[in-house]
Amino acid sequence: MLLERLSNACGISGLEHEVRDLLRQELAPYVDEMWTDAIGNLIVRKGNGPVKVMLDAHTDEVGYCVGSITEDGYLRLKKIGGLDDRVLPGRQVWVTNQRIPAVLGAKAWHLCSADERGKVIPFDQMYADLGCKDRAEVEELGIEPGSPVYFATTFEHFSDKVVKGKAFDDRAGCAVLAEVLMKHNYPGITLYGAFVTQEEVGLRGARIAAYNLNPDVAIALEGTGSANVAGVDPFDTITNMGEGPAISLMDNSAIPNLRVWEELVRVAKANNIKYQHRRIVGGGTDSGGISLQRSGIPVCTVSTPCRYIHTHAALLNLDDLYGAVNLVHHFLLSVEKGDFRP
Amino acid sequence: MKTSMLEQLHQLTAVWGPAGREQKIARTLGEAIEPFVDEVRTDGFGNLVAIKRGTGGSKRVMLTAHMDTIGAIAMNISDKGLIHLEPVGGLKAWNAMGQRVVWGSGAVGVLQHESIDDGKEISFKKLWCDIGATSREEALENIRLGEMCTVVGELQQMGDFVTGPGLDDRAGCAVLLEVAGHLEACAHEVCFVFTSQGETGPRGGGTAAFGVNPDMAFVVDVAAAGDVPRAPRVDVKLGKGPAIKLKDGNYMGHVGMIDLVRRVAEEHAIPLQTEIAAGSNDAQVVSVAGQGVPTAVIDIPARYRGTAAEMVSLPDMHGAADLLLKLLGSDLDME
Amino acid sequence: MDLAKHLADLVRASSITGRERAVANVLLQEWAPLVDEAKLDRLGSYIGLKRGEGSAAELRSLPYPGPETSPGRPGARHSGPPKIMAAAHIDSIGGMVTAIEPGGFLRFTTVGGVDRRLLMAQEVEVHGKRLIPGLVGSKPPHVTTPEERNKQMPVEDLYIDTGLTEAEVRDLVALGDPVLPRYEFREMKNGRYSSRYMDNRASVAALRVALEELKHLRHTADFYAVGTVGEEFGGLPGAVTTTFAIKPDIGIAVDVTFAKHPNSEADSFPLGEGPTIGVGPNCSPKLAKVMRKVAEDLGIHYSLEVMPGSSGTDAWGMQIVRGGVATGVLSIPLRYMHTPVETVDMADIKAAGRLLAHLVARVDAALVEDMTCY
Repeated sequence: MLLERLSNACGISGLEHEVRDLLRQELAPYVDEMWTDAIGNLIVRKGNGPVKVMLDAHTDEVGYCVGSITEDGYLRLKKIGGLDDRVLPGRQVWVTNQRIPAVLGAKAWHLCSADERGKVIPFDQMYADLGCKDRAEVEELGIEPGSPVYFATTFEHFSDKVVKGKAFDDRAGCAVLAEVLMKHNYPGITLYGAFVTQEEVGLRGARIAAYNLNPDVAIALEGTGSANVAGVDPFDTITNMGEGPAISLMDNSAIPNLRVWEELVRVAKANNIKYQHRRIVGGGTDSGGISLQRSGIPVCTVSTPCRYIHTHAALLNLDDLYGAVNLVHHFLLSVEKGDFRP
Repeated sequence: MKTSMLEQLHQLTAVWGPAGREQKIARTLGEAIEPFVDEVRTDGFGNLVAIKRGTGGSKRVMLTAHMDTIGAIAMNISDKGLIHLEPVGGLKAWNAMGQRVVWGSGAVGVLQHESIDDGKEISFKKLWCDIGATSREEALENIRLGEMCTVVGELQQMGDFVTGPGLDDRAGCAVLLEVAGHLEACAHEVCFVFTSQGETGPRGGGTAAFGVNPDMAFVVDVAAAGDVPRAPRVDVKLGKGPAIKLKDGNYMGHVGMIDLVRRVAEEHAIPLQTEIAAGSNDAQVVSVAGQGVPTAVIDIPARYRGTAAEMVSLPDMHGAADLLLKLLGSDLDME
Repeated sequence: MDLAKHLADLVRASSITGRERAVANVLLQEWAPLVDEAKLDRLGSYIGLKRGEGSAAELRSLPYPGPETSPGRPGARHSGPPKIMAAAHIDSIGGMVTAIEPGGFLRFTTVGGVDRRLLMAQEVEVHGKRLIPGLVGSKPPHVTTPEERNKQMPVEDLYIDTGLTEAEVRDLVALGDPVLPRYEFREMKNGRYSSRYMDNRASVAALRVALEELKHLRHTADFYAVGTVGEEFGGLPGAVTTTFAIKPDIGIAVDVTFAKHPNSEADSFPLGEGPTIGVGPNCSPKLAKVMRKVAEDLGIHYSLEVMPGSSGTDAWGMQIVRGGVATGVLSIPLRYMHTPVETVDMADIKAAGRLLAHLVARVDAALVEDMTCY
């Protein structure tokens, strides 16, 4: 399954090559043209129709990189993107794309004071242990400041529909975009798939891709938070896993273009596609970078709900993901038919 | 027949248009300015651009005011039919409490809060909009998630002052319309830009400037006045004229433009205050568009911004319009 | 070339963010023999062009028009020689007069990340109609409460005492006038120098070193030496607008970084052991690799500076302009950042300048094409 391979692939912001290479290989038979740009975006083009549509998904995941190497051979870390410090202690990680195993240790519970036991371990006290004896041994492995550090999470099925893996934000979006490109042709559209970099550090790749492509309309495909779990008030769940793809209402980075938003809702209803909305303003997506390019680009974000995003392992429901594929597909058909012009 | 600026302001403040939902106000502004310009268009971001060609092949000048207001967006609807919201732009919960609102669909409602013991508890999380629906289904007949509402209130005149919601920045829009209506033949090409999402971001100004590609720009917005108790420490008062902004939270005034504005104000004896403030407006995003746009901010002093009863002085608005007309009548050369 | 004198001239010139003309003028004058042509752009940034061999580039063609297709796309046309731009910001933090009060006392606000702990009793110069010395004053200790004495006073409660009468102050000073720290440019031991505004004049001096070195090097690329305005405050206007106009293939931000000293060990680098090369999302890994190779080939010692998000330099703005730019960050270690006694090592400035010059010489069409080839 493509989502499995994408989730298992490693790529923190700025070092997305493994994800890029995988997508390039998968999509080559299905697209007319492929290229990369100065920030590492992978752009693919399918078709040559009069309306230009850009579908965006980001290839980077949140994670860590090596800040410094201690004399004793431990790695001090820096965060890439936003992460909750509470998920770190006792975690297994991979260092570099070679996936050299390391662990994020924590002082034994037995040795902690009552005070320490109640507190979250501050990030600057965390470190990764490779088992190396000293700095020289670490360096011999090819590890240096800036080397990426990933959660050592392997994709698996919890059930037929519910899967677990790392980096569903935004490998879910990449999977949706790839599926759309692989399944259908849209001769009335020039369809650009922009697999962009560095969303997690500031919506960076998307801005460049949108400037270059200057599409008539765009959709950003994301993995977003979902908290329909025990103890959470229904108003605070953001999205509900299992209730379909989520069409954004508004977030910190952008207010969706009203016409694009209305068309997505219309198309979902007309085709009996179960959908929901992302019911929180906090957080930003590539729409924020795309909408401001040149003289403005109409754009909206469609997300696959994921529980526990931005941690070492998230859950998603494949029905939601394929629902997103279906929604985007019907939106493109509508654009192609001329039913909708941004 | 030209409309007076006060009539214009009455009309503009009555039109619904929070950030991202400016279609109606854009239409109103487009119709109002169309007789005075050569071209009206909307760009990909939703900014309204109205261009009056120049006679003398001189400079291209952009005048901008944002056409959106603050408001709130529906995020959740309870089983009882109450709508839970998040703010759009800087609408504060304590200014929203107890206010009547109107939704994009036309439905009306009231914003109310849980009963409070301590003012510190006031937050949007405890606020809701009641549109008189008794169930979720009934509410959904009138409102959908993502719908926005704004506080309503009729503009009232109090001598030289006017008060009402949305003067930020419909007052700036009215000034631009006034300038358009009185601008006769001008050597410069003048682009009147009414931006989208000035209250969230601000966002529209940069995309507008990219498309217009001006040689220089003047942003007309409202500035917090410092002449009431516990106001920000700003030396700006109502009734003492428009203010030239030297600095705010994310913009440093262009020295050449500031000198130009001051020179013209002095030449024509237009009282001009000086403003150094916090906050932000379109000037920052306009000034970094393309190769750079020297930008000045001419602010209309305002009290009680963000409330249902903002207040500005009509003579200050006239001063701003007059200053812009005199600027456009000059060669606009910076030293 | 007397680099110390150049540095002294640079720090003497007043240039808080938004009022950078004095420094720009120094560059227009002092760098004229080192560049083919130079100008100030609309926002006041200095742009100097040193043409590559056989290049016919001219500054009056700025802003260069956009590409017909995305850089990196097969068939994308790149006309003309490769372009590399190095940006060193010429603005600095400081203060700005906000009010003149009865008695002639001046209220002020800060511009950029001024270290508020140092404001009390600081000696300042107010740049009004003439340069006016002053002291940042506040209530004397015997009328402050113990609580007040333990906290920093908010800037709004501080004022500047010039000793002049209110009438004199109103004549000489206007709202918006810059307030700068008084300072002494001091040569210390071991080639170190201490002064205000080494952030970022040290980098400006490094650009000068690069231009001098380029007189002796052959290069096909056009080199744009840019003194950007507005880095310390206001969303990097100089960086984004000059990058837009020049449309470079490669953009290097030259700035200062933290040097080690007691109580400042983490994320800090040794003084006098060379510049740092940035690593992280804001630094193209391909370009960083080239920079490291250049340093190694020249025998220049460097450290890797890991920046997991924004580099906090002009590169953050440069990277996403138009169709994207391959960016790098080259930094000069500096102690006591944003104080009037910022300290740098001349050897680091010279090493950074040399590295930059040799990087420019290495840029050719093939290297540029590789920058978009992932």
